[in-house]
Amino acid sequence: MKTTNLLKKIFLFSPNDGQNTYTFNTHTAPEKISIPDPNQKISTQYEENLKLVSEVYSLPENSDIKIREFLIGQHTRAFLLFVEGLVKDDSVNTNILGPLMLLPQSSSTYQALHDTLLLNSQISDTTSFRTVFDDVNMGNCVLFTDGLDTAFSIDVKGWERRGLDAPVTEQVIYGPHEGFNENFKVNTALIRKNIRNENLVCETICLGKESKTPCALLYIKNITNPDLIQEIKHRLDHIDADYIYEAGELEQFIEDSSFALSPQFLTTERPDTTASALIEGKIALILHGSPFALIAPVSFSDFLTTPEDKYVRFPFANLMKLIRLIGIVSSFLLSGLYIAIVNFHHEMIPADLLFAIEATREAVPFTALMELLLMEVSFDIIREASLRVPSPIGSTVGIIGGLIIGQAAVSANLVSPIAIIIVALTGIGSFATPNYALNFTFRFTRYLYIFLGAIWGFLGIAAGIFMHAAVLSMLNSLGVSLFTALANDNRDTVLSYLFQKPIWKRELRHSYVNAQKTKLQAKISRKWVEK
Amino acid sequence: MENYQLSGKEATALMINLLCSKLFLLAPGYFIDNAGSGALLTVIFVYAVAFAFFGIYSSKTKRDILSLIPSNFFKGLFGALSVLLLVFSGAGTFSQLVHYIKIMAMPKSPIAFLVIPFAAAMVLCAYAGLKSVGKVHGFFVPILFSVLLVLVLLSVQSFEFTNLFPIFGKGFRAVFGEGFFLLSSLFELLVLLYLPSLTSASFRKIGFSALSVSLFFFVLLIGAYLLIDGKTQNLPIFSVIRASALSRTDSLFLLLYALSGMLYLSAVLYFCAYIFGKTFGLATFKPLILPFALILISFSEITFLNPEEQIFLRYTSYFLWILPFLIPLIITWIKPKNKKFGRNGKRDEA
Repeated sequence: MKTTNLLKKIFLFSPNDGQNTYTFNTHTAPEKISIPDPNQKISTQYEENLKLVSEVYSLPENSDIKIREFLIGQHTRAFLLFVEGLVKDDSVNTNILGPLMLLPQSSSTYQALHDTLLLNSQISDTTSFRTVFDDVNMGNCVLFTDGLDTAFSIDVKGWERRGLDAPVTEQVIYGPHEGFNENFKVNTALIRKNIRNENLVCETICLGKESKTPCALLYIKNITNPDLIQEIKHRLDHIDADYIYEAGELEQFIEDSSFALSPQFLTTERPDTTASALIEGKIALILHGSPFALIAPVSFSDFLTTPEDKYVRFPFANLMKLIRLIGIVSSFLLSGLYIAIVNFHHEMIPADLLFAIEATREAVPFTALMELLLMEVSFDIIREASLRVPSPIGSTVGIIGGLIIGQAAVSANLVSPIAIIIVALTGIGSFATPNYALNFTFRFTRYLYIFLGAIWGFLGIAAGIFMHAAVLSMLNSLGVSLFTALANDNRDTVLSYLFQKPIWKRELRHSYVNAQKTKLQAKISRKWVEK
Repeated sequence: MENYQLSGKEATALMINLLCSKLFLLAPGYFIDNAGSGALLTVIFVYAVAFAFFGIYSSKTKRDILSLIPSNFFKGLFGALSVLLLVFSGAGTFSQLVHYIKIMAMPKSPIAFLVIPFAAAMVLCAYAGLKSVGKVHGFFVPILFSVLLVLVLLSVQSFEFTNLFPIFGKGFRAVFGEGFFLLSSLFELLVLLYLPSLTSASFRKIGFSALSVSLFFFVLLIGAYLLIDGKTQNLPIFSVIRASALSRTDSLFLLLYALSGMLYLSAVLYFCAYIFGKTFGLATFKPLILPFALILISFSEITFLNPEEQIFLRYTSYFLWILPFLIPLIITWIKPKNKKFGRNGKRDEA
């Protein structure tokens, strides 16, 4: 080897020299793999059915799809199709394979299989491969028999799931500590446990062309307005998407306004809240794989209500609501008001306090706006970080955030103590917002108010409040105005939405639901007071 | 045109603010300037005329004013005049609003800079539609006027009740003669005549409720201004509130004042576009909102040239009342004679 070549090898080294380097081609359309048409009828020929199933499910490459071939009554060929991990093995072995294989005189006729041999409470038959594949994908086990053009779909679902836990985002002291999990059947059962009424309807609609995610639409048929049911079905039926996995995605597909800064569906992980909404005449949607139910129609006051408000006595509930309202308003307005006062309206602050504030701000090199933005952004980063880190470290993040960002920033003269107080109050106020989705709205608008206050003082704040209200009043939740309570001509008033009446006074359903039954309870519900 | 129908409360709140927002501006000054301590009597007299007018008008028809005008030419003329005068009135109010904000809280800021939040708010709200206009009025008006009431009541300590006398102030002629032309202060009653097609509630009830509530606030605020011996025309209600027991709340008044102004401007802008669209039979009027906003802002800039003189209001008050009060009465008087039966032979519902 020449010296120059050797030096090149040493100093101009590149791994593989361009050989065996894979570059993914994103420019040309990929080669389409042909898939057999699943919308075929089941054949009476055993081999034909087996071949089609194997081709559709890419067997034997597909390792979790199982086909178990066997003989019914030791004479008729049959096979079971199921997904490993989605079915209960015990049920398959004991209730399906056992009777079919062990009884020597077993007949393979439709009647015999359906009436005597398949020991399961939930069996359906189908002649379509489409239904077969849908059922298998959902965790059913399907039996094909030689000579029969009908397959039996047997419900032996038994996938692993998370147990029932307390709701993470809606914790209460009083009231049930039970939240939804990711299994929609469990969730619908939890609602049925709350509403033991045969008029509760739970319709299942599959969403997503590829994912076929089951979605339960719940309503009480003799209470809910049929127009609402028709509208929500219309929206659900007309979603043309491959994949819907979470309630949040579904919400975005069916909400009235996508660009709005406010949620238009109430999301809850509490069965009692969902049941209460259904009783009120609303509809609920539960998507398989999501621990949240979507409730509509709602008014803005529903976002400000906690489940606990109904469980505690009404004077305390109203006190809590009032305090919560103050907290919520301060969460988006306080920073803006502070900056407006500091920049434009000094006269509002008593002279001594003004001097004290100015003294603390003297050493701070930033303007009040910069100082506040710095703290607000830091606070949001801490909050975001503490949500993402594992829970044992979460408290550490809070301590570090509190101590380092707060104490150290003041010591380093980066911010003034008053700015820390304002941001802390704002942050605490935002935690008082009962609805997590609404919290995002206020976090976002808080920055707008800060800028408006910094530029135009109270004039900017007034313009902000006005525009905020104007935008919110445009929004609808399933056709009902979010501000429906405002200045309407029906029986409901703003106060009746915002505050709780004594339990015996909650006689009527909210008028915006326009339910079939307007009365929620009798005029005199506590009959015992009548002597 | 929109499908949304205002509720009775929304329509009433809208009318209350349209009638009362001028109270924050020069209206108390005008009344006192005209009749001295007889200003309260002038207010009551003006409102008595307004009540009488509305009583007669609403007993004869429950329909939109434009639908009562038989000829397309006169319909166009009345609609165009309504829009023109609303624009001028709105621009005058806009000019005063911004000018007072500058005096009250932001003396160093240029006027054009203060116009921006008002312009943004009115355009956004008007563009959001009747539902937004109605809802924001329904939300803010009760809050604004309740707070105002509290602030006025807290200023009782500064009241000097002898200021109410002599009851006829500058004399009978000033109170009832020249005072009659102050009917122009209620020019925005014109909007009420267009409301029947925008609300399903009782038009008569809306009108009487709005007039009653606005009369209460007119009497209250002009009375309070008289009682604290208000001499100047500028910032009348600000002067009342400055005398209140709540010290350091002057700036909070700015919030009320600005919100009331924004409500007023958004309603005026919406109705300018709406009336124009309805008069000339346009399928949609939303594209007109921005041009009308620009016209409104431009006209308000013109009045900035001489904000103290208030040329428009001073010289138009003698005839401004004709459009919302006199002409509608003439229309309702002529209409039954000429149009007793509709084209399809059915009796006119009015």
